[in-house]
Amino acid sequence: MTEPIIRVKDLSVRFPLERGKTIQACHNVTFEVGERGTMGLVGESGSGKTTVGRALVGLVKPNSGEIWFRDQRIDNLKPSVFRPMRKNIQMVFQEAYDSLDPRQTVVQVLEEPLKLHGMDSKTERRARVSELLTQVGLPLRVAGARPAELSAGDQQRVCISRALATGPDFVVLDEPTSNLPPDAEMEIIELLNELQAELGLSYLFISHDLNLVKQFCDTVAVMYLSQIVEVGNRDDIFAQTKHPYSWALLQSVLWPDPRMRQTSLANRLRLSGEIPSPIDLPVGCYLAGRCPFAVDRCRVELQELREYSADHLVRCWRTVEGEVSLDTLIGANKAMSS
Amino acid sequence: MAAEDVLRAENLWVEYPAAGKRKIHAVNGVDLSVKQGEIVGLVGESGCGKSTLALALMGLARSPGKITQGQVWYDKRDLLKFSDSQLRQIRGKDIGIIVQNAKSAMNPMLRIGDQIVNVIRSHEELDVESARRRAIEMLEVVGINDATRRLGAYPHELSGGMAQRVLIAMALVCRPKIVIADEPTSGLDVTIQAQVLDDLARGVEQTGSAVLLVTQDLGLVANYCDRVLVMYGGQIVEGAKVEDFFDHALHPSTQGLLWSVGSGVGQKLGRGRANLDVLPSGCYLEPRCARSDGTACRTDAQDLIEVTGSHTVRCHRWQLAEKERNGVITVSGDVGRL
Amino acid sequence: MTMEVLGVLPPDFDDSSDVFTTRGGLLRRLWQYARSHPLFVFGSVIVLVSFFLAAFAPFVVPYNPVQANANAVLVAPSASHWFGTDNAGLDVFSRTLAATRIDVTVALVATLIALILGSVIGLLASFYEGVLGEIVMRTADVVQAFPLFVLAMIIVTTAGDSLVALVFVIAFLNTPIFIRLMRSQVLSMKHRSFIDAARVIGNRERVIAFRHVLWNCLEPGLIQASVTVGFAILLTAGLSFLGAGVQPPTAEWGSMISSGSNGLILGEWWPSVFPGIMMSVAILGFAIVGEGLQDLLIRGDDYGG
Repeated sequence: MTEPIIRVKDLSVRFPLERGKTIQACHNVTFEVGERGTMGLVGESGSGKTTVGRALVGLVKPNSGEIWFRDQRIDNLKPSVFRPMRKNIQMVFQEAYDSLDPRQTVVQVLEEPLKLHGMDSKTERRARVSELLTQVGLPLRVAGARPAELSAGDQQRVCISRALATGPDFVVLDEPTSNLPPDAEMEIIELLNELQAELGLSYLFISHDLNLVKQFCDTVAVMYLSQIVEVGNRDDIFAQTKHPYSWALLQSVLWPDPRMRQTSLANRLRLSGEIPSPIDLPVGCYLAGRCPFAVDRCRVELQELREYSADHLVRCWRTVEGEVSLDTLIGANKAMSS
Repeated sequence: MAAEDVLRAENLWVEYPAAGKRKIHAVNGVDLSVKQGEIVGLVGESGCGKSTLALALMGLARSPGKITQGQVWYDKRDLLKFSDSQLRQIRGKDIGIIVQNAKSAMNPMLRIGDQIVNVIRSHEELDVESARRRAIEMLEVVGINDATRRLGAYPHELSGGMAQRVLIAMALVCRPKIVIADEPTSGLDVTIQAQVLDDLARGVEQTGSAVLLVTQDLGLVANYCDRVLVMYGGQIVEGAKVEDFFDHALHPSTQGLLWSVGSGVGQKLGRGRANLDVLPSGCYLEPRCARSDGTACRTDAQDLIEVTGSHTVRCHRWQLAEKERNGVITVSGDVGRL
Repeated sequence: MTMEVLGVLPPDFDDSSDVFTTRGGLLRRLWQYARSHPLFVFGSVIVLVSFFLAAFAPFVVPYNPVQANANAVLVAPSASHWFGTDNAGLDVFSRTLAATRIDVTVALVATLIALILGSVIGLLASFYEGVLGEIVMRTADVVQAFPLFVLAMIIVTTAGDSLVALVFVIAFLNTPIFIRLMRSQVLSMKHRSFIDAARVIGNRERVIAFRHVLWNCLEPGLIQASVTVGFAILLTAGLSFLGAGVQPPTAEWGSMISSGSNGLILGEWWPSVFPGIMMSVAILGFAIVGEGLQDLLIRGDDYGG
C-alpha cells in the first residue's frame, strides 16, 4: 500500500473557557488518509469533526499529538515555515457566502492565493484563473462578479476553485454541501468526484449526512464527543457496524427508499437522554450514560480504540471482545421497549 | 374505513407584489386534498412555493402576499371566507401547526407549561389543573420523559430536539384533524431528527390526525409519508403513493428531485428556475426540460392527468418517464435551453 | 398563539434578482439614489459648495475679508454689501464665505484624522486578541466621558491658538467614536469564515486585517464622518466664539458671531446672524449627506439598478 498522504496521531485540542474550565474539542484522534483517497469524518454537532479539519489546515493549534503530511510533520512548524506549505493543503468551508470576502470579485478571490505563492506575472495568473473557472464549470463572465451576485452553488464552486488554485494535493471539505439545496448539493459532489479523478486529490470529507458519505467516501471515521469511536473502510462501517453510537447514527439515517422503512424503525437504537456537555466529560466510555448496553466496566474504564479486524477499529470492548454482538443487543433492546 | 377529506383546496392562487409593480405568482391554481389519518408529503425544489401553499391552507399569506383566488374546504366550510378571529379559533384546535426552528416560534418569556396550557384553554373549556394534566400526557406521548419537571422550563433552556417535541405537543394537544408541518426537523442532529419524527408519528397515530409534511428531505418522505405531492412553479405537478413516487416517478421535476439525492434513479433538470412573474401559457418547466417537444409543451396549458386512481401528473408526455428509466431514451448531458 | 402573519417573504421564495445587488458601482448607486431623493441632492450641493469655498473663497469674494475699512463701519445689508459690514468695516458677505476656509477645512481635516486614526486603532485593538485591546477601549471611554467642551477648552488654552492645535484637539476628541464603530464591526466580522479562508491560503495576520477586515468595516465610520464634520464645525465655532480658538480678524463663523453679538440689541443683527445661518446650513448639508449615505450603504440595496 502506498504511504498515506495525511497521518494524524493522538491529536488533542482543548479550548479554554472562563474560570479555568476547558472544553475538549477532540481527544487522541488517530487516523490516516490514503493518497487519492476520500476519508469521511462523521458525527453530530459537538463531535469535534470540524476541529479536526481546522487543525489539519493550521487554523487551530493542537495541544498534543502529531500531524504528518507525507513525510513531513506539520503541526509544530513556525508560521513562516508552514506558510509555503499551505499550497499543498487547502480547505473548502461549509458556508460558501460567508467564506468569501463580499467586496472581492471572483478574479480577485482566485488571484489572491496565486499572488501569495509567487505567481507574479499577471498574464500567468489570468491564464490560471481562466483554467480554474473552467475546471469547476463556471462561465468566464463570472470573473467580474461579486459573491452576492452568484447562486449558492456557484459561490461554492468559486470556493472550490480557490482551494485548488495553488494545486494542492489534499483538501479538507468541511460540510461543503450542507447549506446548499439538494440539486446544487449533488452537482457539487459530482464536481468534487471529477476533480479528484482529474487532479489526483485526496479529501477529508467532514459531514453529518451519512447518505452522502456512503456514496462518496472510501474510508469512514465516526466521532462522538471529541473521540473517534469507530474507523474503517466504508463497507465495514456501513455493513459491519460495531459501535453502538455508529449503529444509532446509521439507523437514524432516513434513507430515501420507502422499502427500508420497516427495517429502520425496527432497528432504531434509541440513545436515551441528550449528548453530555464537552466540558464535564465522564470518566469511562463517553456513551455509557446513554448506551442501553452499558455495564459497570464501561463506566469506569477508559476506552481505547481496539482492533476488531484489519483496518477496522472500534472503541467498545464489549463488541470487540466478542462478549455480545450488536444484533443480539438490538433484539434485547426491542424486547425491553415493547 | 371510508377515507374522507379532512382538508381540500380548490384552485388556490397566491400572489406577491414585487419591485417595480411586478407580481410574483407563488401558488398557481393548486387543488389538493388530505384524507383522514394520512400523512402526505409536499416536496419540491426551493422556490417552488410549498411553504407559501402550506400557509395559504391555513388562510395565511406572509405580508405583502395575498390569496387571490380559490377555496380551502374544512369541515364543509371555506376557510378563506373566515374572519381573523374565526381563523384563530380553527388554528391550534382543528388545524395544528409545526414550524421549523421551534425556539423562535415560542414565546421566550413564558414557561412551556404555561404556553401549552394557554393553547388548550383558548380552545377548550378546561380548568388549569386538567389542562396541565393533558399537557403532561401529550409531552410524554411525544417522547419527553420527566414531563412534569419540563413544564417549568423556558424555551431557550431546551435543546433543539426537546423544543421541537414541545412544539409538536402544542400542535397535537387539542387533537386536531390535521397538522401542517413545515420542515419540522431541519437543523436537528441526525439521531435526534429520527427520534423526533418517530415521536411525531406516534403522536398523530394517537390523536388520529392527518399530516401535511412540507419538506425538501426525501428521506423524511420515504420513511413517514403515505402519499406525496410534488410542486413546481407554484403548481402541483405530480401526486402519487410513496412507493410509486420513488419507483415510478413520471414528471421531470420529480425525476430531478430523485436525482439530487443520488439514489441512482431520476435525472437532472436543466439549470434555471421557474419564472414566476410572467406565467407562460404552456408548461412552466419547459425551458429546463429534456422531454419538451418544443411546440405543444410551450404553448398549451398543462392539466393534471390522472394516470391511475392514485397517480396524477401534469405532463402530457408522461409515458416517456418509463422509457427514460429503462434507458431506452437517453437524456443528453446538456438539457434545457437557457 | 404561535402563528402570526409574518412580515417577510417565505424562506423558499426565490427572488434573487431583486434582492441581490452589486456592492461595487458605488458612484452609480449614488447617482440612482440622488435621482429619487431631492433632499440628498440639496445636501450634496451644500457640501460641494462648502468644498469649493474652502478651497477658493479668497479668490471669489468681492471684498478682502481681513482688510478693515473705517469708512464703512456697520453698514446694513445693501447692494454694495449684501450682508452688510461689521464694526471694523469688513464686508460680512465676504467674511462669511471666507470663514468656510477655516471652519470647514478644520472640520474636514480633523474628521479625516479622527476617522483614519480611530479606524486603525479600532482595527488593531479588536482584531488581535489580548489585553491591549481592553486598555485602548478604556482609554477611549475616559476621553469620551469628559464633557467635550470643557476638555476642548482646557487643551486649547494650554496648547495655544494655532490652527494646527485646534485641528488636533478636535481630531483627538472625536477619535474614540471611530474606534468604537470600527471595533463593533471588526468583532462581528473577525469570526466569519472568509477570514479563516484568508489564513488558509497563506495570508499573514496583518495583511488580513488591512486587506480584508478594514474595508468591510469602514461603512459605519464613513457615515459617522459626515455627522462628525458637522460637530467639528460646531466645536470650532464654539471655541472661537468663546475666544479660545481662532482669533479675529481671521474670518471664522464663531468669532464673527461673538464679535457681532454686542450689536444685536442695538439692532445691528447682520454681523452675527448671517454667519450663524451659513454655519447651520453647512452642518445641515453634511448631516443630510450622512443620512443619505446611511440609507444607501446600510439600509437600502434598492438602488443597484
